[in-house]
Amino acid sequence: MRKIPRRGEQTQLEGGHDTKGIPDLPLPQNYDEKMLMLHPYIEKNHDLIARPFYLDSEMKLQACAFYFNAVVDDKRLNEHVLQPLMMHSGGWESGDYNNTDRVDLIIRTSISVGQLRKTDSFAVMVHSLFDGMLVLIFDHIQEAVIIDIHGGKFRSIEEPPSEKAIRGPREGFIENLDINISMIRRHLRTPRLVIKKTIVGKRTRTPVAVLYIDDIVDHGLLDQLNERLNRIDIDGVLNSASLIQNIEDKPYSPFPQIWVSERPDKTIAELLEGRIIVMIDSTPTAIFLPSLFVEFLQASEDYLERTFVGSFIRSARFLAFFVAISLPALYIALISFTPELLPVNLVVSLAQARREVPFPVLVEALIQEFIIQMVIESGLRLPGPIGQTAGVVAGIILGQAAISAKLGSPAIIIVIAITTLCTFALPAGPLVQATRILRLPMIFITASFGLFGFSLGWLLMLTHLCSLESLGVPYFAPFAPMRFADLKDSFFRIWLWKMNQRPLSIPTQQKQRQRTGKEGGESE
Amino acid sequence: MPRKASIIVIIFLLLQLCGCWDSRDLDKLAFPLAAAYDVHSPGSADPSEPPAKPDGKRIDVTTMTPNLAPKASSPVDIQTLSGISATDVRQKRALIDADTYVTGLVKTIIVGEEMASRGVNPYMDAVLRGTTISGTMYFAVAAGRGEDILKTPVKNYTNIGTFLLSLFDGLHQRTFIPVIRMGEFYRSQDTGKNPVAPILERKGGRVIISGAAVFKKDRMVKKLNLEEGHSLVLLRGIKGRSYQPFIGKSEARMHWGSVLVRNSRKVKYYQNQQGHNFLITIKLQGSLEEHSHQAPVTEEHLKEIEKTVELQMKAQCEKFIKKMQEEIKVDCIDISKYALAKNRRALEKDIDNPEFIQYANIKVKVKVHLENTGESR
Amino acid sequence: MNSTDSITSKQLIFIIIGAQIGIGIFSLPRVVSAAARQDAWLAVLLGAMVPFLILIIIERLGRRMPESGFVAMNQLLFGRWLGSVMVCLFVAYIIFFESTVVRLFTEITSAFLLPRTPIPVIAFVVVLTLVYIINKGARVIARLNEVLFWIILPLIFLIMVPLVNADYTNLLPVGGAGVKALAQGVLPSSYAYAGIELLLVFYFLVRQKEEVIKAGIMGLGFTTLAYLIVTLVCLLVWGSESMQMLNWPTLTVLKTIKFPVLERPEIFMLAVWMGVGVRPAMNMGFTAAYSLSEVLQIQRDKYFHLVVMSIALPIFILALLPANLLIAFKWAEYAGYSFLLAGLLYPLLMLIIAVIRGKEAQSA
Repeated sequence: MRKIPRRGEQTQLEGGHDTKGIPDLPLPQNYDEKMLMLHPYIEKNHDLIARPFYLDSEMKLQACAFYFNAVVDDKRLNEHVLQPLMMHSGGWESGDYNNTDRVDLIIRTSISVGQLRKTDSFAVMVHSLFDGMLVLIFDHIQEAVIIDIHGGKFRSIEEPPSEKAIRGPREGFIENLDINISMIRRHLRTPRLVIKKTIVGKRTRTPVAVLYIDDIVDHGLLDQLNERLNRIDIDGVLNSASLIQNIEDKPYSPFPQIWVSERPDKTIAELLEGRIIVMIDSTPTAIFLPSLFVEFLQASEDYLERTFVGSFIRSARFLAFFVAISLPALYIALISFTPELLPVNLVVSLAQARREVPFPVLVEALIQEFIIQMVIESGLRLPGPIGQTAGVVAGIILGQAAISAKLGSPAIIIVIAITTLCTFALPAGPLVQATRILRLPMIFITASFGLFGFSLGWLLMLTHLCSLESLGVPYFAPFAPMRFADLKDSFFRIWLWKMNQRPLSIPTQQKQRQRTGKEGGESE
Repeated sequence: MPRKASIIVIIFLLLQLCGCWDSRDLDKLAFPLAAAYDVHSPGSADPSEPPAKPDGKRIDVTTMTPNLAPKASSPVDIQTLSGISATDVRQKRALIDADTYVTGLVKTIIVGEEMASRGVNPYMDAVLRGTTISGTMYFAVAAGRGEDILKTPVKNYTNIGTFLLSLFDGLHQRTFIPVIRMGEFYRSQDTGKNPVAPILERKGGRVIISGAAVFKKDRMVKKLNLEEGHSLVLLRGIKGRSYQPFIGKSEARMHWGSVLVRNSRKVKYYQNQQGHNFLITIKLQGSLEEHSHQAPVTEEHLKEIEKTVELQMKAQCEKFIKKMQEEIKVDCIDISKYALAKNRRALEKDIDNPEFIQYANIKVKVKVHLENTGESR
Repeated sequence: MNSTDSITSKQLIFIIIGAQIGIGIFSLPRVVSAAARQDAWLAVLLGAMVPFLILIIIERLGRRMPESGFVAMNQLLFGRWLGSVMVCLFVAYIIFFESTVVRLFTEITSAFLLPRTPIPVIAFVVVLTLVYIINKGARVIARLNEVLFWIILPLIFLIMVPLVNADYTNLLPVGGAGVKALAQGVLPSSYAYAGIELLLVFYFLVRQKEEVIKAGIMGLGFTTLAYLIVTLVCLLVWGSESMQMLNWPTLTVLKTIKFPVLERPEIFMLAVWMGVGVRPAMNMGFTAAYSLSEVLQIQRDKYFHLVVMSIALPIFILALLPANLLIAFKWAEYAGYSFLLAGLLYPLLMLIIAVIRGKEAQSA
């Protein structure tokens, strides 16, 4: 949806524009002059359709409709714009009306479309035309009328494939911004929900919407975000990633600092916690700011399950994160440097297995790591059912074959397998990628310095995590700086009726979100 | 910022390439599970040495290592090498064995009788100094030579190392015999304390525990038999659990049986003109396990059994105390520390003299408390 | 004051704890019980008086000029030139102290974890890590101190497990060592509390200055508690005599216990601790770099990493100078003396001058 401002608002050109070419001239009154100005565009674009017609029966008032084929909805164009203007017009030819009155008359009596505006700037007119709107120009009237009757086919609303939920709503965003916003409005009906639109990307001119709840969000954060959005100076925003990388604090870090989701229910939950949502047309993802590290280990099912189950799974996920990064490194450290830490029987059996393998432990680990990464990648690329089968087969056969070929001991296969499982048990896609990357430096530093190196590696990682900030908010809260109140939702998830305040880690205006205690329910 | 980060990263990577000094691959390691220290004897098989005179300055170190090679002819590898000190032996080992020995997994150390009598500290210093050596390994004295113990074949266990480990692990829960770990051995050489250790003996093709050894600091001074070892544990307060048989007379009839008791002790110390007085109260708590009487046990009878056990234990302990004061003359029951607790500065110079324990008044009291009688009455 | 360099009063607690509890905790029981025998724990407790005194002095000092900085304060009190010299001396003290910390840290790592790696390599890696961390600024360092504290806390509990082998008579008779021996033990135990003098710089970085005393007491209280626990455990398990034979009694105490899966708790503890034992070095290094950049008026946004590297280099070189472990221990002793000088006398001197100047300003 393009931005059609309400009456009285300034019509400006937002999102920047490629400044060469479209002069910001006022439109002439004469029909022929206008046609002349538009002539170069009609010549170059064969899908730009010019439909001339007369507004009156005596063929005195000329008009022309310009639109791009199939971008504009044909049915509405014919029924709601052309038909009323051509068939039921009348009364304009008398000269008692001046220009503005005439246009208003036309708009208010004949065009039965909801969204339209008028402009007298050539640049605005051309941009609106290329933004997919219908443009009407009239003889003897300076203003052009811009009508939004978008058409085209969109995907139907279905569950997002990357964020499946066992329980809960199965709606997911689609690629059309208006419909996405409508999904949110439908479920979050407070009048305090504010939706502001802007345009990002010089050539793609992608509409971007910023959503927040007015009396909860911290306006300082909002200002920062708007400033960053305005600073973006790129050709095109094709997906959420290009936008994210431009507004992130530290794009070099392996850790994602901005969370995304494709589900409206999660988006609404984030809005209620005081976050700001950015939604982009042509992508089904919603971006939340500010984001915290803990969020990447939270999944929406945790809130749907019962408390203890949810807490248990949440803690398991933290453990999975630790294991995903450290297990191969720990294995190398324990085997190569300090076998005394392990129980005697384990060491003996590991040593016996290792005697068969000609490589040192580091090489063995790297080979297996490489194999498993390739299995994952190829599983992603192969289409549908072949991909899944290939993944399973590759996993089993390669594992067994590797042992028989003496490329690895059974222990390393287990280690890598557990690590991979834990990596994919993490709910957030970006975090999965982050752990895949971080595993390698950990392996190297541990292979050089043993447990000391392992410890140092974690220290460096912790430092990095502590130094990350998301829109100025410390990323590693609630661990550092420690906000005890927020620990309720980190390692474990406490009863929903105890979560009375919004997370402290995110600056908000109103902390109280529900009253304490609960009526009814379990007996003591 | 990116440039600085890349410089750091480059330096880091260079470091990794420099070489990993400390990584040792697991398949080139050998893990001895038990070691024995003996005085050097010319008969020990050291292929690198010409036959040497037994001059008392050399020691033999025997290690028992499980064989990790996949197709090994024998599951264990027992080797004896001699050198001036324990660490000297390690470098000798490098000449004949391709695998590096990892000392951190040794779980038991056995010291030969003769070496124990000469004082073990000079040779066991490496054990304390070594950072990777486990502080929880068991320490025992061998009747005879330690290497004979290690060379005993053992059934039902992977090797003698695991056998000894399992033997010592639960020992104090099954009988009253002192079990000591290396950490405790060193701690017990403080002023006023002396360690004790079990004695292993090779008898009838098996390794058994045949008594306890009393040390004066680091020299063994006496070997005790099993009954004395029993009393030692009770008097010393080493917490354990054991079956305690008793024989008594009740209503002109002999009855016997055994009780399963846990022990604990309390020591009271006071000083008066007669010198140092110790009152040791031993408390035995447990259940009646076996009784020769056919009739159900009444309350009074239970008390009689308690009394019988008490008297029996008291006599046993007093006998041991007498032996300790007259023959051994070393505080092996760990009571001097209570005297030091009252008056450390005055006593600490003389407390290790034999006269202290010889002339101390030591009284023993035994209290037995039987909580239940099992399933039958 | 740059916003990346301001910390909250709660973070100050963790900074103080982090600056004090480092590798000194490993050899503390032996050092103190050498003089104080079985009353080493009393000496540790009494030794806490020294940092408490320092805390009060610094707080009083800072209260007089809350809006200035450490360097500005020196220049105000001593005049521009002498003040800068004093700051440089302070920075030199920190460099010296930190080099002993790095050296001992390297020694322990080398002894237990990496016997064959050459000491310069370990020291270099440590210093490199320090450079990376210090570069991030006070806010990140404060947050890091906080996180590391919670990681260290289970280790303090781990140290209490060997109490199953405890012998309470090792502590008796309480006070039996005599007042003289006790006093002799208080001196080395006060070295363990070094780190409190960093408050001279951190005081001005805290946003809520009125909570500094509370934070300081809490931080100091925790450190004292930790040292007390460690000393007590070592005394109870080993006894003051045997301890003299051990270089690092705290680690050897852990050797006496065994868990079913974790066979060697001392290696486990070291593995965790070694990653975080650099905390004092981290806090100290930041203090030095910050003060140096202030006194030389270098812009921190652009050139801070140069300042940090110029501090890291002398630390690295000094850390390699002691020829062996015993000489390194001796250096640590000298560092302890210089702590008393820089931590106690120096703020006291400044306070006296401030009082005198204040009186002058009032009477003028």
